[in-house]
Amino acid sequence: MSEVILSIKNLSKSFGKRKAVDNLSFEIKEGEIFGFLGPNGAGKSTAIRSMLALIKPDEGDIAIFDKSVRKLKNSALEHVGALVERPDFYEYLSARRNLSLLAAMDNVSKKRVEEVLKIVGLADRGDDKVKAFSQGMKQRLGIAQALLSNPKLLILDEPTNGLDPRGMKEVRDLIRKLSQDGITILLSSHILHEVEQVCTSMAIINLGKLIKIGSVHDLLNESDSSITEIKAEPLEKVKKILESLNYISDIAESDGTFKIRIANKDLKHITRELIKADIDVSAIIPRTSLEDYFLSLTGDSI
Amino acid sequence: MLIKLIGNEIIKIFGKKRSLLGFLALAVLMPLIIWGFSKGATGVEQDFVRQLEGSFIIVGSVFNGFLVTYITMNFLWVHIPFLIMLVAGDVVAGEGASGTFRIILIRKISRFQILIAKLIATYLYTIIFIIFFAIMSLGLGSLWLGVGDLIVLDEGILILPQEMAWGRFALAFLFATYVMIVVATLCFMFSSMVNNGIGPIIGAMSIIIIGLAIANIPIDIFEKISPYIFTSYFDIWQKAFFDPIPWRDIGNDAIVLTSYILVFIIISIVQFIRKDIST
Amino acid sequence: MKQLIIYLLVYMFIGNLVAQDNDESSNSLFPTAKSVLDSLEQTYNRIEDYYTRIDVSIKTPMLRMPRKRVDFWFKQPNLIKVETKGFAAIPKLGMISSPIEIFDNLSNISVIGAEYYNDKQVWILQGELIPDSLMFQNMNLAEDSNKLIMKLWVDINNWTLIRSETLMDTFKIVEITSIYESFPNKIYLPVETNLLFKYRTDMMSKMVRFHGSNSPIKKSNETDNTKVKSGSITMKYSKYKINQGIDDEFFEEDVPK
Repeated sequence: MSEVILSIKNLSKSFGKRKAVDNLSFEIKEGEIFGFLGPNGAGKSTAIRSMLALIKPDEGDIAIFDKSVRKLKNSALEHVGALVERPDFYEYLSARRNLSLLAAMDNVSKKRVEEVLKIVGLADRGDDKVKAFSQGMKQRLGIAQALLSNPKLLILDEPTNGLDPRGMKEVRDLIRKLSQDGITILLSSHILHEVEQVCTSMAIINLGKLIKIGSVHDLLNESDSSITEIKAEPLEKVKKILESLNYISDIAESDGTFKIRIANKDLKHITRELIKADIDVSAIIPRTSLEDYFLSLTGDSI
Repeated sequence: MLIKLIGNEIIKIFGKKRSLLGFLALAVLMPLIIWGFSKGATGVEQDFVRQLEGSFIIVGSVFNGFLVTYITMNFLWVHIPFLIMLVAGDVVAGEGASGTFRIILIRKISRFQILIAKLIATYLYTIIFIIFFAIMSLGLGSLWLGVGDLIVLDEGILILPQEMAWGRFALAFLFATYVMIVVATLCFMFSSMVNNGIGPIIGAMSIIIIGLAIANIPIDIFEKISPYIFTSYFDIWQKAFFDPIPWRDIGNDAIVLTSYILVFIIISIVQFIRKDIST
Repeated sequence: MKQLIIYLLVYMFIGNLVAQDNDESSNSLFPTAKSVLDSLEQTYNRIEDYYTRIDVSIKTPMLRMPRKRVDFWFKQPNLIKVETKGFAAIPKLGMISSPIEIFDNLSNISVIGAEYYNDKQVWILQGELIPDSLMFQNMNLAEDSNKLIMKLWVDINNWTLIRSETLMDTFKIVEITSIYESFPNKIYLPVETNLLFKYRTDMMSKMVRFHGSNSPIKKSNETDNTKVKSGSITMKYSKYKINQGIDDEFFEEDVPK
């Protein structure tokens, strides 16, 4: 059984009258890539800041490697690296200098600074002042500083923010690689497709409360409907048949592919109907997207 | 680890342009002032001498680098504190404003250690700044205008011999450094409370100006509260020029100022450790 | 008989002379002030020029100067030159000066007594001081001031002024004492002069007040008008060189400020 790396128990935090986090509890096990999802204002940032001793919870506690953050505060963060929201650095200093300052705090050598710069692809820009960096470069530098101390738990808040598609893919690949190297990762992201691709488990929060938690695969299969793609011809005939079926909703066609919303239990019926109508069916693919699942739970847009 | 943290803070302080503003201001202004004195000092000397002429035979000149330094040390009331506050006010609040708390406070180093490192770095900056001020005033002044006896105003005119003046200036700058450390600590305390580097400067400057005004206005109620206000002890550096040096008074002043430093530090620590970092 | 008449005539003649000499004195045993002045002047005029090193120490409310060394040259009648390293202020009052200058500041001067002072036989003279002539000009006295009296103690063995007191009514405001050394040719010059002065602030119509530098922190000023302030000046003379025949050109200025 995997060891529990991070444990949140009954975490609550209010700012004035507004309850930002309400009795939140979950655990992250060793080796997981844990997705942390929620709409704007759900309490993700507050929860992450509480984990990192930036905010003092009103109630509850967080344990990282069995060390209470509430009691030990920063001492509990020895094996933790984090990127919290937008990465801000000392813009008047170079990237290398920024990382050197943080390396001194982490008690790691300058060699490690060069290693992390290389990991994030900024080795040749190390002497440039951060104020000259693009948002994507700052994001990568943010990941670099999170990796400085060779952490066993990595908390990443929107790590691909500001990156181009290639950069995003590189980060996703990096996350997978780090996970393979044994690092447990908490990934908070608004890009659901990204979480779907990378995470093994996830928690969904809304209005400070935990809505769902579990493996990504299991949660998606819990959904009682799915979007199904149908490739069949002739298109007009297929459309007529689909429109006549009352258990189908949301029909859309694009480039010869139909997308319909259909209850999982009715999937078997659609196949029979199309064959009965002498339709040439080349593919029927049920696709359950995390976005759909998320929206169904939160009833909110992202 | 504390040494490393202090080193970090020194790099951050001196990496900012605003930290060099004070040095630049002194580097430009002091030579200008000394040059001005060299051109038009006779009036200043005459003011001193006029009152003595009737009763004394006056020999020699009081105008020298020591006199100019003594006069420019009056910058220690307002101008020098302001330049020090430019750094002290930003050293904690600036991290909040720029968002860099989110990279330094998420590490295994305690907030207490980080704050103490910032405080010590601020003190080091203050000490370096006063040393620079001493070099630009006393050093440059003595090289440019020469040295001689020092004439000071201490309930009358006091003439200190040249050989005594060096030691007195050393003592005065030492005491002045201590006063500026009080100023820096006050501003640092405000800096630990907010996320804006300007607020602490305005707050601390206002307190000093009001405190000095209270000490200066001869109203009964002000005279009663004056002993409890730390700015009333800011003249400790002037006592280095008294004859004899009032060591007991200086000791008492130092105790009061030290008490205020400790109070400011305690407030800073309590405030910073308990603060939620939301920026 | 004839001898008795001669004795009587001689006695009357001498007694008459003594009575004529004592213009203001009611006591015919004391010399006249003029005769004392003449003797003082005679002693003073033996000095044609001199050099001395003076260590001056001043502790007054107006001015304080820890020990300062100056080189001082003098030539009759009034040429002086002073040199020092840095800055120095030398009090005019108490400097070696012609007795005539002192007596010129007094009116109604007479010898009022004799005593032993510091094992020396002295005549005590007293006169009324003319206030405008007071050397401490910054202590402007009230215009309707009280009477100012000056007393002088004159050593009759070497005819030097060893002490003077200035009193306002009975309140002593200035006391100057000097210790002399003898030099060849019956020249006497001071080796130490001490000035002590006191005054009550209520006696003064104007005072120079210093409020403690440019400090914005002002301590409470004294408001007690009956406070007595005091001060002292000490001058120690050494390394005398007397009657060296100094040229006038040596003195660049007649009388410094």
